[in-house]
Amino acid sequence: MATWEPEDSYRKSWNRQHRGLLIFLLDQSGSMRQPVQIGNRQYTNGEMATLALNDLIVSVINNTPIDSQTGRLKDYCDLLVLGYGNQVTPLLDNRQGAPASIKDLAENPIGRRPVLVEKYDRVQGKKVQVQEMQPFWINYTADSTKTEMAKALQRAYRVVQDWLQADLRRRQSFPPIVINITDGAHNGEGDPIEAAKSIRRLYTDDGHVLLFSCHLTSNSTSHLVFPRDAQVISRNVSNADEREWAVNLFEMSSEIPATMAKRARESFNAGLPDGARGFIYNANPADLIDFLSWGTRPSQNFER
Amino acid sequence: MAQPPAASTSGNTTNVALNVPILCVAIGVALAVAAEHLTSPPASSTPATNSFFGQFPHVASFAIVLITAAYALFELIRQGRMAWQQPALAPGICRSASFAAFLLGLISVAVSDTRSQSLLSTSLGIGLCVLALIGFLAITFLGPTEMVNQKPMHDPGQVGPYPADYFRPYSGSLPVTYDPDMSGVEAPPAQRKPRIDPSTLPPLFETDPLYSIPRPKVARSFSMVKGNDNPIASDDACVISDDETYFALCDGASGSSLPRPWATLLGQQWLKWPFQEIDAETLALWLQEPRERWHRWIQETWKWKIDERNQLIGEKPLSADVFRRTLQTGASSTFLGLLLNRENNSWHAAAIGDTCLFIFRGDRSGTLRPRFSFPLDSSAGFSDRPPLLTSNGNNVSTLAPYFRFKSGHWRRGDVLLMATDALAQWLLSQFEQQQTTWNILPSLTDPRRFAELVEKERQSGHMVDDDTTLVVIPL
Repeated sequence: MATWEPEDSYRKSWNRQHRGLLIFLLDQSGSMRQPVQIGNRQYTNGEMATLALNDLIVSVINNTPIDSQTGRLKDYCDLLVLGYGNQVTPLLDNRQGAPASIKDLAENPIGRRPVLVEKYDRVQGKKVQVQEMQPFWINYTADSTKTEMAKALQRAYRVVQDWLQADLRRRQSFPPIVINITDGAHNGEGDPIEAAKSIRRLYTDDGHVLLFSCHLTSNSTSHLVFPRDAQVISRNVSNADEREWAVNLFEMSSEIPATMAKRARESFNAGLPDGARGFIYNANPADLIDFLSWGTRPSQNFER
Repeated sequence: MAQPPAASTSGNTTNVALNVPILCVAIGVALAVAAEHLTSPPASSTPATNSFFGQFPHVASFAIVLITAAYALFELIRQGRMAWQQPALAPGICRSASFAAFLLGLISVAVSDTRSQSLLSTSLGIGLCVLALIGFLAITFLGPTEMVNQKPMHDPGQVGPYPADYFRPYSGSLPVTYDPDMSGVEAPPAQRKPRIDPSTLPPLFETDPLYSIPRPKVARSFSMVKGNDNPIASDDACVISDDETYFALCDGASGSSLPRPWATLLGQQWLKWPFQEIDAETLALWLQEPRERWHRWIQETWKWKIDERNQLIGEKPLSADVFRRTLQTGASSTFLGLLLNRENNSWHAAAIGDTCLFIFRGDRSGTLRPRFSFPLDSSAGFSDRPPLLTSNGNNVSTLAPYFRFKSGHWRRGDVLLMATDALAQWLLSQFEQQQTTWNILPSLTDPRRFAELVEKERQSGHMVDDDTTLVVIPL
């Protein structure tokens, strides 16, 4: 296992020469059919996960700068979505399970649908909800009886390994990031915690692969973002099963690197505690990628 | 015509390229009718002129009318298809069409006026004019416009420490109607094979004035793009006046949209309007012209060039999403302006952001030593989010206080350096660690040595791999 001084790792930003890799793992098992009440509507847990994932892809696209030469997105990163239930299936069907470039993905959603998003209205000087057509790439399914989380993590391990070997320059990139969106209930083969550990052992010159978890549940009203220790989870998650799953997911998640915590401080105007893990509970996973290195952007303090 | 989705089209998507063909049609028709008009009185008064020269104007004008009609039909079909593919263009095309109808109406009025009997055609012409004008005004003022700004990335309301058990509900988008069966899904358009390999074509905007690279005679400028990319990919812009007394170095923010032209426009504005100090009101005025020009450049030059290139290589035209996002997010850039007064050997600098000015002076043994740097003086002062001048937004009053100013006198033999953030941070950490690798910079003339140094320091991890520009000004 390679070791780094904290200051020396996770410093690269994505660019054409040093592209990044994002892998999303989406739980599609039957347990994701639990209902969730949002406002006055009812969704299932899996619908929320699918929405969150589509939001994540939109968020990556919105963060990728536009290339002045082509009028398309800059070719900064590759993206792969693996769904897992009874088996592990790549959900972006464009290249048989190989990661796809963000610029191609952005231009080929499977459709658009109206969503309500919060926007800042300059005239009224406040946030308003507006309807907007938003592209989506993933459809909701939750019909499996099994949840092969360990297999999904193992598949992600192989993808990361192949991706790193495909081009030597990728060795110098910011390490790949794996984001696991699940309700936490694993009932398949193997041990997801071990599989998670082996993914996190993979590395580039810039640091170890990062594994973040997004835990979505239906029977809890609490939300939790980037906790530092498992006790915080025990305090806030009442249901015993869920608590166990949450603690497991917490154990699987990488610590947020110091450079990213610093960036989070600059972009959110808010600090993360030392040793905070990339684990969120019933919160928007877009939070996980906002503090990646997206290059220089105007600070929130100077906007509007 | 495709119904543009609400809030996806903005009032300013009109493209000059779309107006041109319609205006051509109008001009062609006008010419043809004018030729007809000029030749008809002699033809009626002297019917004997049946020679070739007598017939020629009629034949020619008839041909022009035929050609314009064919071309107009072709353009109508082409633009109709374009509008179908890009709903954002629809209002622009409607405006163009109404304008063309208005022109045609005027022409028909002008022509029919010469013949006293044709009251019907005159009233038809006037009717067409009025209808077209009403249509034009309706599209311009009642057409879909964008009311809302892009949503802020983060909730600016949350300030303060981030507690370990910080609670936040799901804040993403929610579907209006959730549709698991994908009804109402548009099929993705089929990928076409490129006819020409784009990599064999010269980079776009190489000759655009907003991408020009200065070639000063006394001062020297060096630049390296991040990841050793093509110089056209650089987001840094350096602008130097011909007499080499005004200098500007601006580092476009890579996370913003098309920062290079914006950075150049800021530099050009400094040459036109240098300032000693600036308050919010003056800054708003100062930014007005670059802002207008940046938006105009995006809407006219950039979009047009991209569409032209995409047509050549068999790609789809610029997507409406990308175009909208470009205009909405806007460009941002740091700014460092320097003004030399060669009469009393003084200099004045204004800066916002992390592009730095260094001054070096020889000690008794003649070795150059750094005297100070401006506006940052330690390598720890650099961050991902410096204050930036932006092409969009009403943020001028919050930005003005972040401007820094400094003036001083120079002696003969002093050297001024202007450097963008990666190099400036590296220089400052060199000074802090008492290292001397920097000392080739003030006397640097060979761009290859600059490239070697930057490459070596990037490889060793001492210099951030970012666009790096250096301007050396010997005094």
